[in-house]
Formats: sequence, structure tokens, C-alpha cells
Amino acid sequence: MLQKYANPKRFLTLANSVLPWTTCATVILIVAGLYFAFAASPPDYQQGQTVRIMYVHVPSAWMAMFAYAFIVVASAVGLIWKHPVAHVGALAAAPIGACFTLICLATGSLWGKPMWGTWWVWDARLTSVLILFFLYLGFIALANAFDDSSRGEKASAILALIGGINLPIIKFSVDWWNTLHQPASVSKIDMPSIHSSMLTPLLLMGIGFTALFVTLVIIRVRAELASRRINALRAAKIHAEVAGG
Amino acid sequence: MTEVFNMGEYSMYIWPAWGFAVLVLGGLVIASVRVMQARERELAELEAAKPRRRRQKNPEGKSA
Repeated sequence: MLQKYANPKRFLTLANSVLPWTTCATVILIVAGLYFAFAASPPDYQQGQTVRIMYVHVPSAWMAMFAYAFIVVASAVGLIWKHPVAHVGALAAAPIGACFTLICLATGSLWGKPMWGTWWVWDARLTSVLILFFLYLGFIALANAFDDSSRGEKASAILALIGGINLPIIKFSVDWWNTLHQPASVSKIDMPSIHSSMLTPLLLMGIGFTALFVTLVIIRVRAELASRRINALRAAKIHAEVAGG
Repeated sequence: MTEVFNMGEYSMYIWPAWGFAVLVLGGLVIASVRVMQARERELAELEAAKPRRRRQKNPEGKSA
């Protein structure tokens, strides 16, 4: 199954049939999420209206980690099975993950000021997410640092795998160290300690952002595959001219 | 409706947070779609201009 979609043409056929569905899902879920986030959920009993920031902050944080996990898996597949579309997928996901991480950091800061009294603290959770943002930037820079794109792919894939150690650090940072950041509420093993009126917008935005991620990955993979094909055609043209002239 | 937009004393934190998210994600969507359209257009032009040397299928039934 994996090998079948290593062929860019076959991958594109599948991706293009999925694209309209993910686009519709993105719009519907985010619109519904926004309705529940602003109109159909109460202010928090402690945090008041600032709880509205949670509905963009927490799903962005999920996506920041999900996108990186996606890159780790895609990089591993690319390195082990020499799957060409896997590297393209990892490269396509990196700017999307970086954007979600940036949103997570910025909205967290805007939530921290009124609730903690500070824009930023160098504690484990915040620092490890900032490192995640730099890992994304490093991955993108390294992938584009070589004239030979396959060398860039390999180097950046190795960086992605090493950086994967940061994901459990982010997840468990709130349990391992004393931090200003609150521990997990949704993914607690017994029951989520959050009321359904707040869980609904959170999950809608989370799934909506996931659909947006898939949509954007497909769009960016299509752009990259087209650009590689353009380069190959140009190279063939030059080659033919040199051979013919 | 005005109730929804009036977030009281915390408006100055809530709206910039959402505004930033909309700006970043909107920009990412627009940039990604534009780049894809430009590249695919360029590829279509290149492929149209390229003389076809080999043809695997000949659906029209004409001689190549």
C-alpha cells in the first residue's frame, strides 16, 4: 500500500479525490467550532472570557505536535523505504506546523498576560514549544540548503528524527517539572476534566485544524511535485539542445 | 450579536489572539494555493510546448 503511493502520479490521483472533502470538512468544522467557541459556550468561572483564547491556543498546540509527528513518520518512511513522496510530504508539512506553533506561542502569550501577569516565562512547557518552533525552522532551512535536493531531504529527515525526542518532552513537561502552565485536561486517562460545553468547541476546532492541515499538505505537495516536474523537463530540454547542437 | 463581540476587559487579549491566528492561517492558505496554481500553470505550458517523442496511448486513433 505504501509502495503503491510512492508513485507521484498515483498519489496525486488519490490526493485530488480527497481534496474537495477535506476542504469542505475544514470550512464546516471551523465555522461550527467558532460558533461554539464564541456564542454557545459560557465564560470560565475562574478565567472569565479569556477562556475563548483556549479554543485557538489548544488546537494550535495539538496541531504543532501532530504536524511534527507527521514529519517524523514521513521522514522515517522516506529514509527507510526511499519513498520519494514521503520526503515531499514532510517538506510540505513543515511550514504548516511552524505556523501552528507560532499561533500557539502568540495566543499563549496573549492568554498568559491577563491570567499569569506575564507574557512569557522560561519554564519547561513554554521553552520546549519554542524549541519545537526552531526545529521547524531548522528543518526547512536544512532541506533547502543543498543544491542537490535529495541530499537536503536526507539531512533534514535525520534532523526531524532526532528532534522527535522533543515531542514527549513537550507532552510530559507539565508533569515532570514545576511549571506555570496547567496540566492536561482533555487527554486524562479516566475522564476529561472539562465540561462538554467547552470540550465541544475544542474538539471541533481541533478536527477542523486537522482537516485544514491535510488540505494544505495536499496543496503544497501538488505544488512541489509540479515544480520538480518543471525542473526535470527544463533539464531534459537543455540536455536535448546540447546534444542536438 | 454585540454580546458576542463584547468580551469586556479582556477584549484587548482575546481579539488579537484570534486575529493573529486568522492572519497567519489565512496567509498560509492564500500563499499555498497561489504557488500551486502558478507552478501547475507553468508545468501545463511546458508540457504543451514540448514535442511528444513517444506516445504510449493513442486515444484519438490518429497516427502519431
